Amino acid sequence: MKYLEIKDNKGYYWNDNEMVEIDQINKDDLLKLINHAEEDEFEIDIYDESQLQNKAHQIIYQSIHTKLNDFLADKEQFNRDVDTLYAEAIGEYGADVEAETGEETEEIEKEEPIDPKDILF
Amino acid sequence: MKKIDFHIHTVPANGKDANFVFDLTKFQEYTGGLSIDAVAITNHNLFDLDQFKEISATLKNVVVFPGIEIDFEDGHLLLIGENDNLDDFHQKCESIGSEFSSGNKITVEKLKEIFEDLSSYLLVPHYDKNPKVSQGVIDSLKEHIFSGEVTSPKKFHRLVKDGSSLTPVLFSDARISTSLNIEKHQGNQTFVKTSVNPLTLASITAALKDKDKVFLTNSEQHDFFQVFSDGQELSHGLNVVLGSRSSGKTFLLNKLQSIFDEDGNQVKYIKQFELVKIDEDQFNEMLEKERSAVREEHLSMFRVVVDDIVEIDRRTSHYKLQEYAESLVKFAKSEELQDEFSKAVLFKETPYSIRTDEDLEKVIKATKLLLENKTYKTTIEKHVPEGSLNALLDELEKQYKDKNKKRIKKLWVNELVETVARKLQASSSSPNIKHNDIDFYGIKIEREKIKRFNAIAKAVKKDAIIDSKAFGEKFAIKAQVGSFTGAQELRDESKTRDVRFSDAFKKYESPFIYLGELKKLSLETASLYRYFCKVRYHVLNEYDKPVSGGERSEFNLLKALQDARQFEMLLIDEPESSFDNVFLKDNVNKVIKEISKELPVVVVTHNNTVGMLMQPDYILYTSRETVTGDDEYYLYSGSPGDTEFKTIDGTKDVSSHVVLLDALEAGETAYKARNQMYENYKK
Repeated sequence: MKYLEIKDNKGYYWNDNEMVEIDQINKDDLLKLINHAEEDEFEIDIYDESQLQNKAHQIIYQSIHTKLNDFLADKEQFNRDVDTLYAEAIGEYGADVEAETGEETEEIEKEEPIDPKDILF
Repeated sequence: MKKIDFHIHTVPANGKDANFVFDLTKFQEYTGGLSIDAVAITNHNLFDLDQFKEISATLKNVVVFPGIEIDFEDGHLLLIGENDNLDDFHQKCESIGSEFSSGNKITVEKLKEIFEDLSSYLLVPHYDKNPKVSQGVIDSLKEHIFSGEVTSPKKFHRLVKDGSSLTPVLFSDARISTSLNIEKHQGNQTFVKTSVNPLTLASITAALKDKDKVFLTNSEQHDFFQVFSDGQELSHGLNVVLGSRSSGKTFLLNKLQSIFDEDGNQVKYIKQFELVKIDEDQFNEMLEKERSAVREEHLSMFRVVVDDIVEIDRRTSHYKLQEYAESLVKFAKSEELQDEFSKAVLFKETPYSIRTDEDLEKVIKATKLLLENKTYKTTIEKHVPEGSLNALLDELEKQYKDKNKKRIKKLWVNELVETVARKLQASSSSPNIKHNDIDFYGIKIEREKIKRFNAIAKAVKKDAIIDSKAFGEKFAIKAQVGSFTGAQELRDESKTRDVRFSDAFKKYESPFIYLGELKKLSLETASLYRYFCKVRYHVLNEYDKPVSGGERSEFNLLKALQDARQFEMLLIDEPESSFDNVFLKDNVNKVIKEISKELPVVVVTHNNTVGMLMQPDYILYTSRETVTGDDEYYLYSGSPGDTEFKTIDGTKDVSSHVVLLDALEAGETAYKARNQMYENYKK
């Protein structure tokens, strides 16, 4: 399904509920897009300036499109990397990764972001 | 039989020895006192010709061979020459010395280049002695190496019976200085059977090719080894020491310890009453070590995962995402503020995401490991020729270089884009886009890591018995893993009083969140893996119940005996003084007998259950006798079945029957009276 779409000279994204104009996007929506990106049915419209007249939409759409495309280009390596992540420990302890729904991760994602002064850049 | 010591130092080596001053008089005392027939001078990477000549001229009745101990490949190698062409030997050793001081490694090829015809020399690698020369290197010199040096009678005994090993030899490795303790080195020489007189290196080399001509005792028996310079032997199996009080039994054990426990790790000595002195706290402390060991093993892989996951701070990723989203929208919506600077493409350009190929790095590392491994060189070569491995390595390294080039180029572009964007932003009135180092790929990998970590952490604490083993006939040890049931247990695990775990424990069921809570406490990051599962360790008796005080001592003895297998010799002083006969017969005798098949065991006893029911291989009898008013101490010995036990010089003997009844049964009269009483009860 389409997660980024260009329609009627505007950019839209899917927020797990409906298509929303791209200038409304926030960090939670970005995270949702990233989380869907590994799925087979993840599709995005190619950035095309002529189809997207709205200047603000152009800028946002292009930036997010580039970053998602970057990820999609490395999707194979991503899957390889994920397969080997902690594989030894998973085998050793018989961990059931499939049983993990990711709900706990979402719980953390609802937390307030860290105060910038605490980030060690 | 000739007694030889071919590993002797007379010059201290930088970095390898504590400084010592060579003492020629001491050398004379050493060879004379221990009746040594031949020695080789083997200093580290050095042959001192003048000193050698002085030694040869001074040591009478001892054949002295020139030698050198070489830092060779991955270990040490003794190389010994005939003593008929010292100048040539000296010159070759000079080459070794200059290679060594230039920092060059002495390889097989280099050794052949310097010494040319290796068959003229005796080559003895460190074999079961550190630093060892690896088997692959020994195999590559198999035409020239027949014997290998070991560090203990136990190792000698094992290898001399092993058809596929080199002939073992035991030498002193002594530093001949004023402070040399000659007593400590008795028993650290090798006997070779040869009738050639005077001794030549060729005759010794010929003997070393035949294991039936190499011994640790003058009596030509592989099952015995000499322990004292007077020729006293012990069996490689079970030796029982009998004798009345104050006749020198404990003195004998102490003396054996002093000779064979050079570094404090070779002899296990279980002293009288030692094990019953351990109280409950010490017992629990001892078990704690075992428990930690089991826990560490169980959690070793989990620890690696925690060490990695602990670095992830999801909230930092959120902040970066938020900043990116907000600045992007803000920039886009301020179209009217855009000027010539912000309209430049590089103003809003997205940096390349850059990753290293860890897979490729691992494959290169593994290929190098195969190429460099010396221990399994022959096996590797059999299946994968070295040429193919080299070709593989070349190709992998080429791919790595190509990828690295691309990576460096991208880094260069990123840096340039960043510099230009920063300058444009400085001149522009338009808000900028904060890409920071936002990386969708990295954020997704983090998420997967957390998911997997949660699954692993839940699996780690599942109720399970992770270690269960019988300990002797009577005890069992069980290590169980399970969940922590409260904050108090976490505090116990931390062994600190001032850390409050109550808030953290509320999140215990959500591992990643729980880890975040643990990170807030003043705990060492490296120890956080310990707070995810509880490992309990129990010692149970035959009724599956925790052990009592007396049983703790019994368990301690069995544990000490089990530990003894790692040592080169086991000494036990009167085990019966702390334990009852039933326990000794049912639990201890069998274990000691088993251990004596692996290493020499010496047991001092007055107890017939220990003394005779274990079926010793050799019996020693200590005796204090008053001769012309003075106390004299004698040591008699013999094998079970001998009618007499004799002193080593053969001048004195005692009836074995009398010794056994006196030492184990309080004499014949008491023995008969006891038997009679038992018969009466039976009737």
